[in-house]
Amino acid sequence: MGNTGQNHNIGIALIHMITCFVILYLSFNPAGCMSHEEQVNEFFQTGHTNNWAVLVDASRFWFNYRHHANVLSLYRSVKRLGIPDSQIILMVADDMACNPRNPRPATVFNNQNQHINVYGDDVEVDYRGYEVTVENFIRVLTGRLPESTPRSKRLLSDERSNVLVYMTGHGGDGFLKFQDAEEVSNVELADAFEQMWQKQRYHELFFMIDTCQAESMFQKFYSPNILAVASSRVGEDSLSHHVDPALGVYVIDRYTYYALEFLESVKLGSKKTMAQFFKVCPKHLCISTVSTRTDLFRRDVSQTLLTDFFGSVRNVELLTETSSLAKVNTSSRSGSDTCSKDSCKGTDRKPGRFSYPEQVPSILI
Amino acid sequence: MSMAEENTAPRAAKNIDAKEQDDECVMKEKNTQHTTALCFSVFFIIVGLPLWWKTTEVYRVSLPFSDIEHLSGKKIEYRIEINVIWAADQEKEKVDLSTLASHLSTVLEDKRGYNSSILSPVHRVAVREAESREVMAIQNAAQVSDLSPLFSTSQLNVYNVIITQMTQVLAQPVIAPSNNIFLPYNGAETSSLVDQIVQLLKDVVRSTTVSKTLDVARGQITQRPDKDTMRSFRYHSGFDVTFTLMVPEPDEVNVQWEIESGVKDYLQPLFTSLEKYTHFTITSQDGFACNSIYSGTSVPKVLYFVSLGGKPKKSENGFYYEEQHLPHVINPLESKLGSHASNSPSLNFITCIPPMNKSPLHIQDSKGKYVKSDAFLSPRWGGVMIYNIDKSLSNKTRPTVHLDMHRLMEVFVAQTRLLLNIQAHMTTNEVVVLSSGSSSLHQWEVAAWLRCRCVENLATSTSTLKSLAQLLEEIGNIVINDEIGKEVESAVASIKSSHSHLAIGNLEEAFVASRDALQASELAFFHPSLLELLYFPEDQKFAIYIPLFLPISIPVLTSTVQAIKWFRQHKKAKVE
Repeated sequence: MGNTGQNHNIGIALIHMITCFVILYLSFNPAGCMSHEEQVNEFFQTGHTNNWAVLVDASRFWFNYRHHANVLSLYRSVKRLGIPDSQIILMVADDMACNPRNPRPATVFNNQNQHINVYGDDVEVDYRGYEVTVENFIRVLTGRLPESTPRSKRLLSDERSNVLVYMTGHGGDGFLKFQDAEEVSNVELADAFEQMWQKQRYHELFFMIDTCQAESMFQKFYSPNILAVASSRVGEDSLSHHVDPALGVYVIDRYTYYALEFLESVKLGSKKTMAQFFKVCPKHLCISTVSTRTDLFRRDVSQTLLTDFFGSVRNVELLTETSSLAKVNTSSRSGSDTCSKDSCKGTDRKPGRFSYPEQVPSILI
Repeated sequence: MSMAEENTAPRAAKNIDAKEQDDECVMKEKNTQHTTALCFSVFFIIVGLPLWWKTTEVYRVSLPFSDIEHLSGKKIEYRIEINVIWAADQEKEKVDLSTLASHLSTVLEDKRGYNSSILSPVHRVAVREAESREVMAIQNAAQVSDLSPLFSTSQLNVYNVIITQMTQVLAQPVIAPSNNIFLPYNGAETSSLVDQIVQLLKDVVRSTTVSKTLDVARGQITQRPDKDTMRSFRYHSGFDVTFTLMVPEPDEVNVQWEIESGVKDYLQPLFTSLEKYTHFTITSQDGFACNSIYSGTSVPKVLYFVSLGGKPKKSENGFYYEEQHLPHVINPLESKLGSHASNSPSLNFITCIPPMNKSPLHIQDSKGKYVKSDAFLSPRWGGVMIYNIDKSLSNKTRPTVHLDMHRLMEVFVAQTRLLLNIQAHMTTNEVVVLSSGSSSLHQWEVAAWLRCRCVENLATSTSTLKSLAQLLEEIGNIVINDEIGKEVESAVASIKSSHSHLAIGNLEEAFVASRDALQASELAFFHPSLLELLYFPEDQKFAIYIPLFLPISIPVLTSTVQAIKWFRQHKKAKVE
């Protein structure tokens, strides 16, 4: 019960905040003069209209099973909270489920109890195998993809999109390794985000990274409206959570494990905030120090809902007025309203029969 | 002894000779050696260095940076021509027409809006008296729509304000389809008349929306979420429109809809009014009509056994969704709507038949009232309508129900207008907007839409070019090939031509030019070749060059230094 009361308070606080903002805006900006009549309910609840997620597992090979499980677990969570597959870009080597060393083929588990098969039957991988490259990642972010790229592989976000970028893999001070072949540097990443900002490709961006020395990846960011969280400080290692003796490998990383534990408790329409999310993995659980960056973000994280990034809570508007249109007389077409089965035959569309083409030309027989 | 001495002397001389010869030999050898070393280094400097410089140079076509800089600061001016026609003969002496003209233009000049440094309308006001036949026509008119052709203008930026006498037909201000505003004169002073005209013009020209659109396109969105700009799509060269029917219980009711004829009868006029400017591809998924309606491919997918998500609440006479539940209603549907083949944004329109045990199903607003239309929209996504079927039918076994396309389309046309930002909010009280009965847009609506989109495209393409220029400045590794150069040139030219067309009032030409500019600048910015070389920070270049150059440059450098030293010594020795 106490919880709902708290939610109510937060709701009131939010409305107050918006009101204050409007009043501030009106008093400082001469433009506000025009919008005197506008009421608080003239605004949508949030500043974004759609949510996107870019989930990247930058490593491959069997012993990196846990990274695979990390990214797939997060994929399941954001999908459960409402981001549709068409707005999730999943980049993963995808070599675990069918790995010859996998004793449970076609499954990926994130827990040694093997309760949830995170591979499931509805995972839509957009970039797999050797497509997971730095180049493709930067191309997806900046939108510089070849013309032939299908819609599902594009980040078609706009100035009203909230974007979640999750990365996991092996990293060092200032870089994240991609599949033992190349690495993305923090400078490159910061430049890519700046280009996204310049081209109005996001409204707010949440960057989450689980790797060693993860903090170094967001230190170079300079574009506005970015919120970042990393699993470890510079000089620290991020550790894995537990091993599954049946598989013989570690199945999940510590930070992602506790983050997921928190996300599991989040339901659609939840009022949990980002500030709560930042505290999910204290040092005694994570062993590494979780580090956050909020200076680029304009809102207060304790007022920012988790579902602004991890879910897709749409703004809706009730339609109060319909267009009045003159009724077109469609009696000839809709005459079937009253017709019986026999008299309707003319208007009914009959599906054509399908048949196989001849296998051997008839001339030969 | 002397013999010995005699003997030794020539030998010594011989020895010295031999030594000198040896020395000379060595000297010669060293000379060649050092000359070769010098030749090598000269070769490296003259051939190697330029070759390395040339081959590692980043190819870059020169771009019109100064033009881009100039355009990004340039003010957008659009011209509006206002013809005030005085047709209120009896009250003529009350208002002096020339005073009215000068007063009107000064008021319009003052009301330029807050961002007048980047955007300003230029008004040209002309006032004339109505001809006698026009006055006659107004007096004899049975309907306002009869008068429209009399004052019609095909130019999009010309507005006629016709001030008439109060008649039975004209008791309040009327906005007629072809840029005509009829204002019955109520005998007021010049200043209040001018205010009335300005107010009406604001509604028709939609100057506030234009400046709001510009702000959004320039990226100056404040944290204040604004409904109008958030709800509607920005300009795209094409839209995919999808109609979906959800029948959760096909075993209970046989639902039939003639969406093809519905679209043709009701929605097509709207799309036809905009077809010159943007392309709509209409598809539907309803299970049996698998062919596409106009063009493009349709997804032959049955959304049978699918219903809206969430749990509606029960009331005494049916079920209802509360407003805050609606966001969660759409999400589960989205995966079932099919993926889209094109990259254009999609407008999704969903009609949902509630299941029998949940009907009638309504939507309750925040005040606790049912929404009459049973419909809601989600910004930049589309709309959902709940279509309740008459419950008395459920007595029959599997009744056939034909959906009323008129009811459906009244909702979807309204939503389309909102999503495309065509809907104008009238701030003037009691104004009547003449409706033609079809969904086709009025001339003034098209004009206002074009004006907004033109300004938006100009701002977007200019800022795209500007950020491209800035990017090139910051990151030296970006290749600019001829194609990108061409696109940038054409974008700059189009922006310039759009600016000049807008300033002289050729709205349509200005829009077309701005559309070309938008396409060219997007193509240049998003060109895949911009990423052909990943962006190396400068220090990483050293990591590549050092292993390449050190093994060659160390021997060359040291031998050159030694050669120079040797030649200097040699010269000194010779001089001495």
